[in-house]
Amino acid sequence: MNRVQPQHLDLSAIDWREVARRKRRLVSGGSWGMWLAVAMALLWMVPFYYLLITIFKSPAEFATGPKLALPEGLWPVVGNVSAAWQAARMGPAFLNSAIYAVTGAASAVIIAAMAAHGLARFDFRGRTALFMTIFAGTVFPLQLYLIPLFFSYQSLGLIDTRLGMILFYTAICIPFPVLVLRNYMSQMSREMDEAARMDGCGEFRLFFSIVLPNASSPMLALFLLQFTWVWNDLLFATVLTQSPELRPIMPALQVFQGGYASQSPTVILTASFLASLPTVLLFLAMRRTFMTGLTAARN
Amino acid sequence: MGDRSMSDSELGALDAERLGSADVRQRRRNALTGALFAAPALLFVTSFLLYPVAMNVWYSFTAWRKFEGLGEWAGLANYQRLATNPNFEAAAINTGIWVIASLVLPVALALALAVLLNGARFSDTAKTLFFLPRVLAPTAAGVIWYYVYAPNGVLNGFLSLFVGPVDRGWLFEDSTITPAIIVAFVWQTVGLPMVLLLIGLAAIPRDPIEAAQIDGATPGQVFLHVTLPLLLPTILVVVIISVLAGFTAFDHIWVMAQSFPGKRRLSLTVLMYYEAFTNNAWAFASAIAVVLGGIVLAVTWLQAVLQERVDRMLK
Amino acid sequence: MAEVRLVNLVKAFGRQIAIKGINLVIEDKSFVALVGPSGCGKSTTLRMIAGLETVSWGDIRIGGEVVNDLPSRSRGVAMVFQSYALYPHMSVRANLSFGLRISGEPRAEIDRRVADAVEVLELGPYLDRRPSQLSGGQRQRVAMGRAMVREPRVFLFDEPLSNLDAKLRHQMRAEIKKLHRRIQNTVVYVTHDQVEAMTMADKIVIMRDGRIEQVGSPAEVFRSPANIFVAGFIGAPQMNFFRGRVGPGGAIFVDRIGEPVLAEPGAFVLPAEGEEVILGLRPEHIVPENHGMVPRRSVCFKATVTMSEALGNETLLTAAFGGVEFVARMADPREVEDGETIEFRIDSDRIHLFDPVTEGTLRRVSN
Repeated sequence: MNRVQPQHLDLSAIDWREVARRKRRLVSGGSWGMWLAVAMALLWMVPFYYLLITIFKSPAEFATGPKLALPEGLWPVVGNVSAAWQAARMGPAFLNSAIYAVTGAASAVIIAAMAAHGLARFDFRGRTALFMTIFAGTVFPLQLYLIPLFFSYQSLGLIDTRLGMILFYTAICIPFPVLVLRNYMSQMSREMDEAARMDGCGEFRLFFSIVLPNASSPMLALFLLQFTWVWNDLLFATVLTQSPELRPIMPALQVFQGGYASQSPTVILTASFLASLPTVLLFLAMRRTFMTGLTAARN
Repeated sequence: MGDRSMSDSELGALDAERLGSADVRQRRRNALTGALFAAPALLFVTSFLLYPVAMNVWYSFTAWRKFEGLGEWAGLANYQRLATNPNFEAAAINTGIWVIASLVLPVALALALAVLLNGARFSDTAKTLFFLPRVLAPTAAGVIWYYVYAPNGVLNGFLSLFVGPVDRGWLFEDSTITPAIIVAFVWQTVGLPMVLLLIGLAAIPRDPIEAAQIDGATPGQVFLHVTLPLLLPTILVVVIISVLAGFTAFDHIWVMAQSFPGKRRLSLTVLMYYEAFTNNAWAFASAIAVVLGGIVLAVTWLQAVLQERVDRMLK
Repeated sequence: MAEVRLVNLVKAFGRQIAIKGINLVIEDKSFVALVGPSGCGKSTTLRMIAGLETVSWGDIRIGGEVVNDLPSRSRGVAMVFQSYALYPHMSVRANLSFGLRISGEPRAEIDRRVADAVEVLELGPYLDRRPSQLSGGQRQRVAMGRAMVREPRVFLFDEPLSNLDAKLRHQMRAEIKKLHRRIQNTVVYVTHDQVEAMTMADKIVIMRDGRIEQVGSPAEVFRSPANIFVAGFIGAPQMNFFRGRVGPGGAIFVDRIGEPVLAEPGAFVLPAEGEEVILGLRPEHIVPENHGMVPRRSVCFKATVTMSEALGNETLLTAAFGGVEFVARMADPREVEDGETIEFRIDSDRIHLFDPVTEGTLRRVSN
């Protein structure tokens, strides 16, 4: 029998960094690619950078200095915020956006979960047809809803009402979550259902106590996505509301538009910044949940 | 051991309908429960989404303008008007440009970024950074870029460093406004295709790639012949998302073209809004919306077909 | 009283008849195992008793009451699922008490029953954990506890041990049996593992293709299998089958063995002379020369070893003679080389005889 003498490997002689470098090169085509991507990422951030430095400049400072220069001090932001807040009536606008986004997105996701449960976990003949009906809600561009909704709302007295806005946002936020949740729920264990039924669960209790808690993570991701959508909506918010008391934040920003905007860009940009703050913060805080929601969506 | 089970002939003699009756009852119960759970969603979607679409189609066949003509049947008159309306022509061309641009730019850029970032060190941070613009409201993004493009804004300031003082009004000239807005649009939206492509790339099995490498293929060839084909389903999804987004872009144009007199010619979406809420030409605007919707539907249907073919090809 | 009675029970899936009109009585407090190969219908039968599948024809009676149209929760049954089906988002304590909570049992009663189950199943340290934090065996016990707290008339087990490794399975078998002795309920236990059925059940029901092949105690089905299928299904390694022919005076001539095997007089109902029979012999009843007890009456023959599997305490020899293969148990084993020719003894007192056409046993039924 042959015996191979164990060779002694001098571990200290290996340049581990070079090993890592070679591996990275193999995987991502070399370090120049990564640096290019980093450069692009930095370039991508320029508008944000511009936004952040401008908020801290006074109108005079902004008008005179180079646009990409750093601000001289931080105090001007107070003036900008106060001017923006008052000019765009941001207080009530924020409140409205919050009400519409939270209520609309939450209601939609729960209603969507109910529909997904009914269509994914009960076997009956018409269920694909019913699903396609709901899915049809994702297929049309928003413009097709605009005029009819405007007039229906007028005749129903829903125009310029909180209820009207919430109802619409709920409706439009339902189809996509149904798509995602139906897929998710069809993969949930049926045996758990059976065990619950044997434990004496009626159908509604089964849904609320057993199915819903186990779908909480995709539901949260979907809530965040829909919340962002409602918060950022401009078109329907503009068309379906008229009075400033009921207007959400995006139409409220329109006060700066057009020729009669006499405000400095510092104020206008501050207003835009404030308006976007909630969704950006939400995203940063819940990045992971956002991303898992996307993966679910892709499937 | 006794007669434990029925014989085949005894089984054959059993009434088929009675055999299935318990199941029929179960199915009916299922249908009731399932439909009950789906009822709220169905109610909302049909009343607020599907019914309006039907109404919109109907409006487009009437002569509705300002306050009258709603009951009057106009046949294809509105559609014929589209053909001769100069605004429509310009808006359609611009929308076409948007579609082509959003077909090519976001996808190519996202693909390049995804490839560069795949497995790289800062990919998680990079993902967040590129995706961040998406969370910004389109309105807010539009405002930022409005000032970037302003005659005394960032872009001109930057260019001035190289070619002397520049003070073009990028958002005021016919030839530059659409590309300018498209750039802003791509800036905001490329994050999503990029993330989707990254997920797609990560899902590609390593074996075919390694086999190709062993076979002596250069990285370029590996990419072209192995990675790209396997990435095709994801690319398809990304293309569709981008194209549909490009079709229906509104917020950016609305905000960034606020000082541009010919705003209504910049895309079909803006034209439709203008005709409806400024001209009050309801039927005409409905027709525009129907055209827009029809094209979107066609594209979506095309995607479904292509998706199936790609899926079958990869099996 | 918790007797389960199946009367002409039929289950049809569309045109396919899966359960073919079976009749069965499961006595109160007994432990009955439903065994059979996959697809035989044992799980479907269990699920019909549970109320998870509809009954196409026939009746299911529990405690004398027809339960066909009753929902599961009203039947007085509880089930332990193959995959345990625990509620992932609830703690063990919540899992156990869920059913009782929603049926409105008073708090004191819930606590008592849960405490009881926890004590018997030794779940004390896990009460606040989630199912995902438990091992397979622990989850299994929680599943049993959940069934236990409902104090059902009938316990249903659907292959509960098939997801566990061999050692754990062995342990859990003893635990389940112990549990049954303690709480004295009717148990219907489905498994595809005949060893499980043999070691745990008072009565075994062997099913094939939607029909019941035999019902009997473990000893009965082992010693007096009703047909070739049962004979081959129960007992491992599987029984050997040889073709044979009836000779004069109850002698069976096995193909290729010169000497006839003399069947015990009066033990079998033999067909006419010259007719074919199938002879069955378990591996332990084909004794290699010098390895094992010499049978009282035996027939010798030689065979060539084609494969040997040494298990340590015994070796399983696969041998062939004249193209016929069989497996024999070698007690007190020695090393055996492939190709070795060994002498074997057939234990004539232990043969089984079957009709080659009906496959039924030819053994005379004793009263």
